[in-house]
Amino acid sequence: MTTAVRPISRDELLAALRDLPPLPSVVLELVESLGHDELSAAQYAAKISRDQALAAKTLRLANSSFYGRGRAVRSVAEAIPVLGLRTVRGVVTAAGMAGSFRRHPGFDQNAFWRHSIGTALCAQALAGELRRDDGDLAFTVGLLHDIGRLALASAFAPAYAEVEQRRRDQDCPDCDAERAVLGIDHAEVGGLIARQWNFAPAIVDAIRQHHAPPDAAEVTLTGIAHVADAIAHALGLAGDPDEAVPTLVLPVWAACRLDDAACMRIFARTEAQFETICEALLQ
Amino acid sequence: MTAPAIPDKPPVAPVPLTHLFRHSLRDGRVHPLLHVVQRYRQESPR
Repeated sequence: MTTAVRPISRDELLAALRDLPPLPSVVLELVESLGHDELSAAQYAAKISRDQALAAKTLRLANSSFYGRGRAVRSVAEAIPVLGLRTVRGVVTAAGMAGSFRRHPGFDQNAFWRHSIGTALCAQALAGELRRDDGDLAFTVGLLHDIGRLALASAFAPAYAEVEQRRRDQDCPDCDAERAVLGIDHAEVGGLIARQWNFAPAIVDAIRQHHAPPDAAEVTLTGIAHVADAIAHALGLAGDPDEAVPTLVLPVWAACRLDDAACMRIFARTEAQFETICEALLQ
Repeated sequence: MTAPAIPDKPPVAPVPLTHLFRHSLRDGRVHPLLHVVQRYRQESPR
């Protein structure tokens, strides 16, 4: 039996979001740079190298068995050609975010990041399958789509523990449990945070609408986040025994025009890198 | 700022597909991903 927690007022929410820890400056710069190619690999390497924790994770991934090429990678500049600039940008963003929020008992942050990384890889694979040139942006949106959950769990820990309890007790989607307990869901909160961090409007929209994307004849970044989220859950990547696949909005799924072979390629590409990236980032 | 801790448990065993898709199955719907993921798991078991 759970006790009632009063809904969070808009003012309380905005005040709590203002108090969230700032993202490392290199992460904000990397997200801002998505879609632009003004920076060279050397400039990226210099930026990432300023943050020791992020540089160490980049090196750990470059030296992993999946990417390692027999000789030790000792600097971020050496890691970029091994991993590719896209992967480095995605990994540094993920590592920066993963290190920015406090852990609370009652919220499984490991499962949260496993699902986020899985959705990011899947979004990137889906963008590639659809022959789009915004795979980096898709990766970032996949990584951040549930950031509102992390913020709520971090800023309102006792209330969010009740959300998690309700989700388990009623076996309902997390948005339903959040609205019932807190009066707001993680997608709306995520959109507010993304706007606060000055992310591009396409990223803000994708985070805010990833559970209810608007119907569109063309696949949008929001549609990619929606489909990638469902696939990552369907592959059971979070490792959460309560994981459940969310409903797919059929016109959005149909717009992707994915046959079974395309789906299989997306699944395989996602899983090929998944454990390696989780290992590098979550330890 | 807090560094992420080492995960305190190894990845759990794969969750059965019927459990992952239980919400749509409970509603009597076949989720568009169910059959393709089923086929994928038969061809690429974990």
